[in-house]
Amino acid sequence: MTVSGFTRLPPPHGLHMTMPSQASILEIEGISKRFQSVFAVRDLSLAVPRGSIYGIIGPNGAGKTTTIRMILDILAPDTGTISFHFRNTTVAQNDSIGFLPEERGLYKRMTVEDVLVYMAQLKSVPPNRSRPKIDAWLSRMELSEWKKRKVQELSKGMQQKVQFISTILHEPELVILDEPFAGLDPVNQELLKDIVLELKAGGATVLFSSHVMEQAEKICDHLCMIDHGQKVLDGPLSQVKSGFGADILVVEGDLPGAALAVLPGVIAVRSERLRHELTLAASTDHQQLMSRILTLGRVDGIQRLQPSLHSIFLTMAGKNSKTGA
Amino acid sequence: MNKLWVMICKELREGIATRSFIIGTILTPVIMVAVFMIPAWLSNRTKDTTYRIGLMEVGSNQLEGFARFISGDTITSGKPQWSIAYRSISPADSSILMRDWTDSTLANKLDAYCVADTSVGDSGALLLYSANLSRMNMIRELRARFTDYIIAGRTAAEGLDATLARSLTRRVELETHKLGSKGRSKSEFMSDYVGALIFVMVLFTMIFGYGAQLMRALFEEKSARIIEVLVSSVTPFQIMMSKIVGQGMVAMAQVALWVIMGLVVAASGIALSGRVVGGLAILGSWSFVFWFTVNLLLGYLLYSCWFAIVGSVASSDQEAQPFLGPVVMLLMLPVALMFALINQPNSILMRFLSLVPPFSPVAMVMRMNLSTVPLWENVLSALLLASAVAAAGWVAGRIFRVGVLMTGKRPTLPEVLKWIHHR
Repeated sequence: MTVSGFTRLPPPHGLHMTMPSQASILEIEGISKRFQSVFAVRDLSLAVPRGSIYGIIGPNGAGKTTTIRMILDILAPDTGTISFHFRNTTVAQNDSIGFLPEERGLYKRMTVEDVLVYMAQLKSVPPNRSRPKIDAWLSRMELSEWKKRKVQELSKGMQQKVQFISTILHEPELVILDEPFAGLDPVNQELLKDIVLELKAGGATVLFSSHVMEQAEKICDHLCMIDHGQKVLDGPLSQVKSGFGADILVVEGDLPGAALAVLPGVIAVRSERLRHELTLAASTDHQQLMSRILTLGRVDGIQRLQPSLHSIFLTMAGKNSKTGA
Repeated sequence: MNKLWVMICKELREGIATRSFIIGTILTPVIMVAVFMIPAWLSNRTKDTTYRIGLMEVGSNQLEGFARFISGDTITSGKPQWSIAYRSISPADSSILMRDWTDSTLANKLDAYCVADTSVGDSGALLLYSANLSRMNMIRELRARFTDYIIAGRTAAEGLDATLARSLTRRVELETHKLGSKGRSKSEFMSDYVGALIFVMVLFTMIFGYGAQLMRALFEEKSARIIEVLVSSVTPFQIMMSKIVGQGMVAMAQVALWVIMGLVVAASGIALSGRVVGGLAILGSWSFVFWFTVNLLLGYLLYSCWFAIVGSVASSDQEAQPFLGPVVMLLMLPVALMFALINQPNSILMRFLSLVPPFSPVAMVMRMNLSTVPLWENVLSALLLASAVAAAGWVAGRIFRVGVLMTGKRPTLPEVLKWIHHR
């Protein structure tokens, strides 16, 4: 369960919303991909808002990588369209994208520096412009002393960091990361998270996939959940969470359970000594409710709990398979 | 900045900086020269040894004089050519001595022994026994000297001057010249043959060596999934072209180095076997150099398309093997037929092979070495080959684009053929 403060995030717009074109950097319209008789992706539509951190989330085999491959034109969708709206149209579309594939790989016999210079050249960044950036990034990633070493001498984690640098070195408008956290230790996961947030702050859009929902929850501000190749739900994180089912308010303090149960907006109360879990109706005015609670007795703390992405996913995926959609 | 050029440069840089390139560049000509020169050098060397022979006279009176006749022969070092053991023996005792000398020959104390009876010099032959009848030089020399001796005896018996007789019976040499549109050139069949072999070997090494290199580079990019990152930056066609052109340039660099090495060797005056020099003399003909280069380049391009297809469809050498065998056969066919067609380089079959891809590069280079090829045939052959390259490039591009991004199981041939029409 995730904990958030009292402040509410911006008001919800409703689920399954589609952003207007100019606000989206990438729009996918009804794409499907079938391998033999199995749909890897089925009628998937989504819009990635410019400047967002957008997570495509789902269990293994849900169709995340297939979706990303279609976005990158590695696979051609059987049906549907994919369109980009880059701000800088003087740059080739390929050069506006940075891609970190799920299965990492670099030229093993090249040195770290050479491989980064080469990859940057393939994104139209000449060596004289890429070299200073490479130095800066290597030092940021604590890899400076490995600059002249061959890639095969590096540990797997270090190779991943080098590949991550090559993904973003050319400052793409859209960064696509397939399972970026897989294989990184907690320290490097944290480092990667910071960099992703910086990219967003710098105006880039980050699209990533992950099957670890707790991780996605920490960084993304928009998401699309997919399961069995189909969209389960999408929208801004806050909206997905608040729009999804009931809120729960946990109140700690010496309070009468019966009085809490009759407060407006409260559907049910589960009391356990000094801890009371209030299930709230969807339209409840939280501010008003909390001030009423304060008048009932000694309050040690109030927390608003939102359902985790994990539990939302389980509920939605379950609902989907029941309705057979 | 052109991305294709950046990729070609990487292939070129990496191709030239490898150990195998350096070793191949140095060793290939060394091995090739060795293949043709060592036999010649070895046979020259055996000429320069003293032969230990036994001469056994059974009732005749020829060998004593012969022993004296050849006792003055020397080899280049000044040592005597022959170390002779002479015995005159009665027929009754000959079997004992023969057993004795046979043992010596088998124990390598004698190189050979000869037995002469009374008939030698008239109707009979000199008998030679050796453990090793492949000592061609010794046998040839012995036969020549014995003939000289017998003829000298006969001319003396007729009252003629021996020296005069020798000069009168001197052999006449036959000098062969090859006729071409540009006129005549002094040439020898064996030289042409050796030349054809050398140039076909060069063609082979280049096409298969660099084709396989191209394929392995693709395997690396596929196995490390680098290919997906590449495709997010450049088109599959650019990837394919960078490989084909890059490796082609490495091949050309190697040829250039060989030419330089050849010029250095020629300038330094190192004596190579006459046949090797004779076979390579065709390099002095600009039209041959030009058409050889054309055939090498276009031939490489044609076969490299196939290697690119295999490299995109398969993901390891083992997987690629079944796709490569038939191609080797295609390229080998003219060479296999060469031994049958060597005397008719302008037969209809040979002309057909030298015009029609994929046989033409090898067949044409062979024909140009062995005979004179009309210009229009060279041009037609090159045009047909270039069209085949264009067609193969188109098909390879279509298949490559899908194949290189495939993961999982190796596709079947019908699946691969379907990709040609894919979107």
